[in-house]
Amino acid sequence: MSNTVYGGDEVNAIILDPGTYNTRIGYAGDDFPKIITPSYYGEYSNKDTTKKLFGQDLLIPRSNFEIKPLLKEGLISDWDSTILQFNHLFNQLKIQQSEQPLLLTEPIWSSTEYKTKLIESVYENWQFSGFYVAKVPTCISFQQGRPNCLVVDLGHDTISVTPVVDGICLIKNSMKTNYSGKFLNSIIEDYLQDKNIVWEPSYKIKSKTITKYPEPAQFQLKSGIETTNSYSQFLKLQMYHEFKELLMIPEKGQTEFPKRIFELSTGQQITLEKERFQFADCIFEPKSYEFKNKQLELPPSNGEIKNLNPLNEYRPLKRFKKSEQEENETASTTPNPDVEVRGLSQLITHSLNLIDIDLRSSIANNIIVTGGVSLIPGLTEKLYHELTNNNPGLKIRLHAVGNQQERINQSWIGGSVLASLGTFHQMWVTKQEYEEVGIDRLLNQRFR
Amino acid sequence: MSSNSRRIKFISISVPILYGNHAIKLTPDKRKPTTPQDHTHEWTVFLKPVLGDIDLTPLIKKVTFKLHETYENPIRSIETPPYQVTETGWGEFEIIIKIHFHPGVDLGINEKNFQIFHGLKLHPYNPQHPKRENGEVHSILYDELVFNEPTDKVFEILTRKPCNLLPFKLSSENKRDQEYIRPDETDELNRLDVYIDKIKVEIENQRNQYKELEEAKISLINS
Amino acid sequence: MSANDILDVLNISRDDNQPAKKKQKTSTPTDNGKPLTGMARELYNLVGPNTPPINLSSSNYISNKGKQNRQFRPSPWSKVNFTPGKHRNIQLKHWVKGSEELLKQENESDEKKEYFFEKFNIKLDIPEFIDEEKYETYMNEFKDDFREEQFTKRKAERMRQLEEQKKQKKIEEKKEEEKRLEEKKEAEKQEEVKQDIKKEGETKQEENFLEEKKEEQKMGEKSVEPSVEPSKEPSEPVITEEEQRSEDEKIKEEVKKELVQFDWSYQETKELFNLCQIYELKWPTIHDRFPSNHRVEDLKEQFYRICVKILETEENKNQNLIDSLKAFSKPRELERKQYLENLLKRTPAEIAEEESLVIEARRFELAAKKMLLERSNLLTLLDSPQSTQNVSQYQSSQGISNLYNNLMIYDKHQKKKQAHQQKQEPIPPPIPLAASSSIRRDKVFQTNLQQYLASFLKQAHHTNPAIKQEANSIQQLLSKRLTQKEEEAYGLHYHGTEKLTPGVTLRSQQKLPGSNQRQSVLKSVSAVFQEMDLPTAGGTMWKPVMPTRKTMSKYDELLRSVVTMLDIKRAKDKLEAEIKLIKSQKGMQ
Repeated sequence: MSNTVYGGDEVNAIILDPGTYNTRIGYAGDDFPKIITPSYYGEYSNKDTTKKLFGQDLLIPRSNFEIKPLLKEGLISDWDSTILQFNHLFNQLKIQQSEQPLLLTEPIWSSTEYKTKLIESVYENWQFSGFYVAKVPTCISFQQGRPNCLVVDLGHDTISVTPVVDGICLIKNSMKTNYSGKFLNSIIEDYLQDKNIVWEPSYKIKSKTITKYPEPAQFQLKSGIETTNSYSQFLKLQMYHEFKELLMIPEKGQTEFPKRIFELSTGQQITLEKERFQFADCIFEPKSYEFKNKQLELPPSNGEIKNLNPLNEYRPLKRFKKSEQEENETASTTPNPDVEVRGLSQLITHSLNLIDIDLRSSIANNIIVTGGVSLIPGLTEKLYHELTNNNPGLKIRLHAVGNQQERINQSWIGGSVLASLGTFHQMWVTKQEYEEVGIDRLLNQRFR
Repeated sequence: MSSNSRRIKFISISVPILYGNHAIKLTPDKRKPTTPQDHTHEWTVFLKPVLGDIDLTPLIKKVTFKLHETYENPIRSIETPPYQVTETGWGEFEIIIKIHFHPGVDLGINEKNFQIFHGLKLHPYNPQHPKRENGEVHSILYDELVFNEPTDKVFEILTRKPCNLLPFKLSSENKRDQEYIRPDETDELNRLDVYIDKIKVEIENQRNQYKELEEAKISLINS
Repeated sequence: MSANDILDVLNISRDDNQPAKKKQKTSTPTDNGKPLTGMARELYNLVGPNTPPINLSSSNYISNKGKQNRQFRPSPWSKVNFTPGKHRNIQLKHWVKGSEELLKQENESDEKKEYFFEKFNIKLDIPEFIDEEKYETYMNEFKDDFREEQFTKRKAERMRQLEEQKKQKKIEEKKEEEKRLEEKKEAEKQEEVKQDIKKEGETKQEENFLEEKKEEQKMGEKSVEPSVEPSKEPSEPVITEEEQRSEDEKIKEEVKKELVQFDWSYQETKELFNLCQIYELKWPTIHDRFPSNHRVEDLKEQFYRICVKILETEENKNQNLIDSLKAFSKPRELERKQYLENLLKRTPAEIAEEESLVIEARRFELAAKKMLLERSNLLTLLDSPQSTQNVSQYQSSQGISNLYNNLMIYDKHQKKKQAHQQKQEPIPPPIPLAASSSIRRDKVFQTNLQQYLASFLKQAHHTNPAIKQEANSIQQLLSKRLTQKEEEAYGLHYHGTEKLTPGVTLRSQQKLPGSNQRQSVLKSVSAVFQEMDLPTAGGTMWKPVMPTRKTMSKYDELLRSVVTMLDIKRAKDKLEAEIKLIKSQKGMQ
């Protein structure tokens, strides 16, 4: 029986993993989600009716068609639309709600109100036989099969660093900044604006000629289609994505910067030389890029998650005993409580230092790097070097899944693993229990 | 009785023995009808104490001579003196002579009865030995049986008569290659002494040289 | 064409009676009611009424796999409801091997089987949390205990400190007084001198002066003494009551500050216990989920404290558990963690430094060991006898006489080794040992060997006085009074303290004591022997032509000297090489 070997006991649960960029849904026990759809919805207003569209329908250009995001920083911001989207997805999969339990994922920085609203919405809107909310780092640790680990998630909106002990996330020691995919998008936007590069979505282009920057782009637009700004912005995400695929993390002391040519939809070709490396390096050194358009700039964040604990008082942080030379070089890596900005490696180091000393070595040995942004070449190597330099006593070991698609969808896969374990099935919460016990106690007792 | 099995420490008794073989060419008259045609020599391999009148039978149970496997019953066991085996043959091979002592607590000899390897010699091998017409060849070696920490019984047996005596001169001139006499020993000792002196001189030389060199080295370092 | 046609063509008549005779049981296909179709029909037409031995049927063309598949029925799986866990009321479905009927039977026959994974749901056994009253009493108990303990401890310390301070003061005062006295003396002396100068060389005055000086000295001493005495009187300084009171207050304040660690509300502790139960005492998680900002050690401390109290009031006390809980010491844990932190934070330079220190320490240890070894060697070389046995046995008069005897025997052995033998008297008739006072008399004239044998006999004799001693061979031998030469003639040899293995060996096969060298050395020695034309018998068996005891020992001597020579030669060569090297270095310089 597969029970005894893998501890698995499939009950056909549904795993739903909403992210800022994409929402994933599929069956537990599968190694890949069935549907991956962007976390956006399109609102089509036509006289009296407003219709909301999801999925592939979003890409079709229409007039009066606004595209809005569903989630922000991993938390659902537009509840009604999200519920509609979930319905749409459930229908696509033809789920029999009464026969199947549902597992939803959430980030660790969700507040009590958010959790309450989430659980209420699920129970009121649907009739799943069982429901559970799992934290994203827990799922990832289960996917990797490492009960003690440090999950470094480089997602679209946020970079989060969370220690996981025995499968349970430690919230107090977690860190989160916004210097991630979206931040890179804004850097790219700033760069293009600065260079006065024009961009138009490809559906609008009637004809174009290949030009090389700094020659101005030569293209002709189609006429007659009026789309909203948000629609264009939505399509621009695609362009950002292509641009980001060219990024590469530089090695220390790298002098040669191989160039790549990026062709816009307008036919204009931009040669990217050191910009490729400079932008990517912002993940490690967020302050290294000077925004020309200050509006695009992000507020400085040192990673501490503020709203978690009202009693999260200032805790004196321990200092490094470094030689002076080192101090001069890495001024921004001193764990100074007054530090404004923390790049990736500083985040991880800081989080490590907050962990109980007994666990620190085993956690440092199991650092899992996940998320789409982590696919940038050179990121894991540089991260490893910086971490070992900053933590001479610890044995650092990074784990990053090789398969691209797996790495992007790692949290969903983790949820799939979790929900197919035989020992997990006692965690499902039924609607009956929800009605009996009430939301507060549930939060306290069950959804820990 | 306890005293019999007591070992006398710090004492050793030695008994000189001779072992080896004679060989003589087979003349037609010596040949027996059973002698194969290709046998060329008749030989005798033996083991005996130097002095003819010493009786080792209380100690030695038997002496076995292990011949080449082509011989019938290659292990010949002799239980009474004279301990010897006479055979005919054509080839030279190694004979293993084994002395088996009487086992038992009395004698306290429970050693793995040791072996002597002797190469049978049929042809003249030593230019110093006189050549003989009848092809007589003798290969005889001297050795001593040393009994360490003998028990009382052994002690008693071996001290009935002085065993360690060697004749002082050859019984006859042409037995040079068969017998060992006392002067042989002294000759050897003298020879060894000469060598020892030589070496000592050499040692002195080396020492002096060493000292000189040391001084030279020190002066070199200091200069 | 059918078989009949062929037969006709060939003019062969068919024997139709045969089938009836043979009583063929197998029915021919032609007996079937159904008309055959296709290949089968053609085939049977060709073959004829005789059925072939092989059963030709169209089923051969059906794939074997399919047939096998049909024969093999897969085991049925059924989707059944189950309830994971005892407390949850959720009904989930999963696939279980076995047909529905079978499973239903199983379910009905025995009791409802527990869910397979239920056994992994372990819960820790944590003492139940108590109610508020008890809690308050416990906490107050803690506080009181703590207060008292700390109070007494600190008071004692403070008292000690004060005493020491006072002592110090007194000592200092004494010193100051002494200083003052000395200064006085000096001043007085100077005055004296002045007076001296004033007065003019009158002996009387001088005498007076001297006297006065003496008196001064006496006075000085006297004046010193009384001042010393009062300071000696109070050996313990008196601490006034006022001082005590002020100290007490100070201590109370300090203790109050420390009482903060007991500042746990009932609710907090309840929450703590709850979390401990849920998270199965996994402290990092508990600490993470605990609302307020205590450190892990604080949580642990509080938990263990309360548990101790709870467990103590239980009936079956598990004293081991209680003791182990009590063993938790918060300051120690904090210290330990601080050490670990510092350990982690060592820079690579520090780590390298530590490693080099460790290596050096090890080197020192080795050197120290070597030195000790050499020292002990030296001591043994110096031949100081070590007393390894208990000395007390020699402390009685009998003990001393025993010791004396032993020493004499030992001494004799030593002497035998070195002393020369002497000539013998003519052999007297054998005398029984008992009456052998003459043996003792003639000891001097015995050879080493005989002396040894005599003593050997004596020992044997003493050990078995009851047994009738036969005139054994040794006695006989002794009685012969051999000269040394005669001894040799017997082949006897006394080896003294040399180690002898009992048994029989062949002289030539004896291993020379000098040949205890490395293989390389032995090889060079044999090379030297070959040069010198000594019989080496190939390899390590140096066999003289005539192996007697003397020749063997001579051989040994030769061997040793050759080894020595080789050693020296090697050292000399090394030196030469060094000199060459130095020369070349110097030359280059």
